[in-house]
Parts: sequence; structure tokens; C-alpha cells
Amino acid sequence: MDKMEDKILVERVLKGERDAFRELIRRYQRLVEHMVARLIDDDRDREEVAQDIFVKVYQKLADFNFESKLSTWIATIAYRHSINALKKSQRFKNEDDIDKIKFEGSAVENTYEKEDYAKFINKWIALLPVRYRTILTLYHLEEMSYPEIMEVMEMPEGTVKNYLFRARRKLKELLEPQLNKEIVL
Amino acid sequence: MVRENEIYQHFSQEGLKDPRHKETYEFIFRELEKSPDFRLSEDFIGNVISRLEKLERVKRRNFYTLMFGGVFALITGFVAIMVYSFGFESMARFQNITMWGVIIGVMVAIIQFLDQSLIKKRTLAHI
Repeated sequence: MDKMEDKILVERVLKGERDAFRELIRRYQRLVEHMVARLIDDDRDREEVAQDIFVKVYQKLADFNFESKLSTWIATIAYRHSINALKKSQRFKNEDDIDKIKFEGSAVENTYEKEDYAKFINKWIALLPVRYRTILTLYHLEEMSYPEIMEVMEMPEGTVKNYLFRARRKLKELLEPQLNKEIVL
Repeated sequence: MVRENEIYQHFSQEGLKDPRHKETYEFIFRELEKSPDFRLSEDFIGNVISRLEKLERVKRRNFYTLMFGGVFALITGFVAIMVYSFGFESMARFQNITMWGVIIGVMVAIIQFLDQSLIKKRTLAHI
């Protein structure tokens, strides 16, 4: 999204134009939708968390200084709010070493044949720690650059790259036996 | 968009040789770029706007409660000081209803001014 367009839009919102805020939500709804879908485990909580994120965006918009893209700033709010929501519901696991996590695959494998592969891989992603899921989402789905992801997650570039690499490698390890067995690529 | 260079990075760092690994990574990259199976409700935007308007109503109600409380406290304090300092007789000066009208009028004007500058300028509902 063009930075100038965003600036004009933000100024209109700050003047109190309801339609401008509707437009802002429309522009960034997909970004927030992707983030809550990947970070919030419970379907029932996602809609509410997404609403909370936009309420926060509105309340803090006057503090946004355009040093970063609006999308990066909204993603930062979405990330922090999702983490807080997970902590509140006691679903946040502060597990950063992906190799130490035990993945129970039976639940995924049971539904594998009934669903398409995108759903299948999304179920594995849902089992990854939150930080890995966030990086995968921002990089692959939102096509954010490393500096943007660093800003959203407040992590050094090396850590972001490392998490991304390890997340994909873990997915490969988890998927490979099934793919080799079932998929004719 | 499958990023070939990143797949080769996996190959070199993991020491992979089997071409099937490349196919697996291509599959993973493709799938990672697909949206998750979740959609926000049709009236999502309307719901966010409604929540903001509700929050603003609460904010304004709290503001008025606080302001009227403050005005009440000021008037009570003023009367109490007058009575304490000069006795009940001093209140005779304020028997004139016009004087009370002026005091209350000034207070309402102050509240309106603060409401306009602190709340209305930053709300969605004033358009």
C-alpha cells in the first residue's frame, strides 16, 4: 500500500471521519485476519481478538509517526495483542527451541485424507510455537522483509532468519513421510 | 512464489542431496503462501465501529460524571468556606438567583469547552 495514501487516510481518521476508518480496516483486514488465524488457536476467540486489534489501532493512531509502514505498525499491534490474548487464556507457551518440542501427529494424520493439503499443513503450523508461526505468516503470507519482521517482533535479523529456517525444516520433517507416501509431486 | 535461492539454502545448510527434498520444500513454500481457512465475519467492520462508538459513549459518560462531580465539589466547597468564614448570613449575598445562574453557567461552559477539546475532536461519532 502506498505510504502517501496511508498518510492521507490516517489524517482523515484523526479528523474523525468514520468512512476513513472503515477504509483503513478494509485495507488491513486481511493482514489481521491472517495473523489471528495463525496465532489464535481457538476459532471462537479470533473474531474478538481481531476487533480488539482494530480498536487499539484506532486508539493509538495519533501516536503513529510514519517512521515505518502502516502495515508493519498494525502487524506489531496484532502480534502483541495476540500474545497477550494467548497469555490471558493461558495458551501461550514460551517455547523457543523447536527441536525440543514433541509433536503429536495422530490428530493431524487422522484428518489428512479428508482435507486438502493446505488445511493439512496449517494444522502442523498450528502446532509450532507462536514466534515461528508469526515469522512464517509475515514472511510467506504477508511477504514482509526481514527488517519489517524484526520491527514487528523486536528480534535481531539473525534470529528471524534462524527461526524461519528451522520452522520450514521442521515442517519438512513432519510432512515428508506423508508426502512421500501419499503425494505424487 | 517459490523462492529457489532459499530452497538451495536449505539444501546447503542441511546437506541434502535427494531431489525429493527439493520437491517437498517447493510444496511447503507453495502451501505457506496460501491463506489459512478462516474468514472474519461479513459485518466485521460494522462491529468494530459499533465497539468504538460504545467505548466513546462510556468515555463521555465518565467524563461528564467526573466533571459534574468536580463542579458539585467546587460549589459545595465554596459554600462551606463562605459559611465557615462568614457565617450563614454571608449566604444572603447569593440569594439572588442570578448569581447562582452565573456560577453554574460558567461551570457548564468550562465542561463544554473541555468536552469539545478533549473528547469530541478524537471521536468517530461527531461527524
